[in-house]
Amino acid sequence: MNSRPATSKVGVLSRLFGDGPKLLTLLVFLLFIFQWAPMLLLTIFSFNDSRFLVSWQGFTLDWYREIFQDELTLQALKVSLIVAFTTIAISSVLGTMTAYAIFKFRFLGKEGLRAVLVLPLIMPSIVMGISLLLFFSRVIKVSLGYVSIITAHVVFSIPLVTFIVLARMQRIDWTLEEAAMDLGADRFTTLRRVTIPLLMPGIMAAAILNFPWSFNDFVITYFVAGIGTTTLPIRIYSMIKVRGVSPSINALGALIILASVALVIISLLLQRRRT
Amino acid sequence: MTQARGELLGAPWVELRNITKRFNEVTAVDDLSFRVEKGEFFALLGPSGCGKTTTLRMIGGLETPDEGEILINGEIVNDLPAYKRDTSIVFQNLALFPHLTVNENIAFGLECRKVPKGEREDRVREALNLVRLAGLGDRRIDQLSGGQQQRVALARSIVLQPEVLLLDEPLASLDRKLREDMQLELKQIQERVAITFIYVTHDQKEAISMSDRILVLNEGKVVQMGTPTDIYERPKARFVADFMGASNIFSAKVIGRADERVQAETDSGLRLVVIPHEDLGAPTSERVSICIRPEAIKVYPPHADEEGENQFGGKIEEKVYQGDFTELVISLEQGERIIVRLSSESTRRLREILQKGAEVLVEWPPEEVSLLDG
Repeated sequence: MNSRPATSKVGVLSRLFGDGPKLLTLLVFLLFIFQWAPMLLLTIFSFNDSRFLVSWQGFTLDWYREIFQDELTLQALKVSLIVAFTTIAISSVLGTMTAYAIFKFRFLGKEGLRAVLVLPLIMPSIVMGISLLLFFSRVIKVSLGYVSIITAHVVFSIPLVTFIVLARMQRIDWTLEEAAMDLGADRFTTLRRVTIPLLMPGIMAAAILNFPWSFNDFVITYFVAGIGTTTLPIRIYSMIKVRGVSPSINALGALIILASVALVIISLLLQRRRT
Repeated sequence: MTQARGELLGAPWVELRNITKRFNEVTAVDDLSFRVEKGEFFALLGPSGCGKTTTLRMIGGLETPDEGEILINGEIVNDLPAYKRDTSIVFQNLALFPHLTVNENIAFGLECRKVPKGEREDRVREALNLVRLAGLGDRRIDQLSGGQQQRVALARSIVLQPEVLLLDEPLASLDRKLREDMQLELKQIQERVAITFIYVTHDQKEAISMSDRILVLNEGKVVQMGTPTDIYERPKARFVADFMGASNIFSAKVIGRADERVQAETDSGLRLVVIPHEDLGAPTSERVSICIRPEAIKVYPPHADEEGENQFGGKIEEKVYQGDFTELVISLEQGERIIVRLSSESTRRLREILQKGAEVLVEWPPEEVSLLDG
């Protein structure tokens, strides 16, 4: 290192990062704090007996009580959950079927299909939202509600499932299907008893990722949700617009953080059980 | 053991007629025809890429032939999908279901055939006993050793009592000691259950030690078919002799024939008389190979007065004592180097002359020399 001039970019950088592990650890630590500090603050102040996020006035569960008594918020939660689970169910099936077709069959337009699948993943949400709104209200003239929201969510969820399951399919030993057929299982039985169980880890992984994608979606859902089908993110947004940032929102936020963390822990435990 | 249904007298159990299979421009199997008898241990032997695995898969129904017919027990099965054929394959990579236990793997085929639970459990237990894995039924596949997994794969196929069991180099991934043990076990199991085995391998020793008959394949075509003795002692083509690891193969040309005796001359001028085995007939090309097994060459002290044909002088280049036999590398006057294997009795008899550099007289009995195509 002494042979490098101190003024060259390479020299400075390598001297800075030369002390690799320690610096890296510090960076990760800082990143961690930067990312979690807002949420930590939010959670702490959700127990604060004061409307303002300035000073600590005492412990209270009032804000949580307010949330659980708020009909509109609870209704929005119900809508979000229904949308999310329905989306997951539909896109898991359709996405797996798509992945299977792409992996196993040769057909006209296969590359085109792949390109079309990537589109919802890279398209800006606003463009998606507006075009879907126009589609539902002008083209097929369907009133906005569960159907429009779930359809919109399925549109961006199918690519997710397809690509995750496709990746899983690259790592499967396909002679297992041949073995099943040789032993007497027809195509359907092979699918049911061998293929799907082997794909299950991929399908599950996709579903676990699919849930936050659907539950948290704001932009697209904002455009296609009707009057009576408000999802939770939209409800939170309107709460802020009306009341300003109230500590009950903190409480709601803290609950959502708790749920997400629980979901991650559960999926980690499930993974460990499988291997 | 299932009784043969509608079996014609003398009909082969498995028959391939003019089977051809192409993959794009490559002809993997070229106009192949052969018959396998009921209860036989039949080997398909050949180097990588010779079409033996493709042939096996066609019999099992995982590939469809482009031309020709495949018959099992007299019935043409070309249009029967794999799950309707009464064949069972033991795959090279075993293909055991990782998400099922040993018992569940073995029971898989029985469940597909809707065998009732009680009978299923009995048959699974029997199969486990047969392959000596009793008590390991509840284990998961990844908890077993290579040899144990091998046996589960075998049990899974045998429990279905198929008409034909197809094995695709099942022992290839095992180490030598385990492989030799399993060869013995497989042979014993085959004799016990009396199922026809069609066994694919590239290992000639394996084929010779296990099979009733061997089909040697190269580039999708039959090279020779016969018992292990036929293939080893009376190869018909240079390819077979080479593949079986024969020593003492030389290119030559036929220079004369009289009755059963053929006169041949090697490229370096060695002249011999060959009495080909009746099976061969004289090869049609003049360009041939001759071959003699190391055990068949006789060795005498130089200048010995022995009655015999094909006697040549030579010098011992190497001598390797192996206990129950001695191997010699001898170079002949004409330049050929040959390998000779002497029994311990001959070794004792010739003790004085068996030194490196010593001169000897070798004799190639005409009926032991093989005349080969190619």
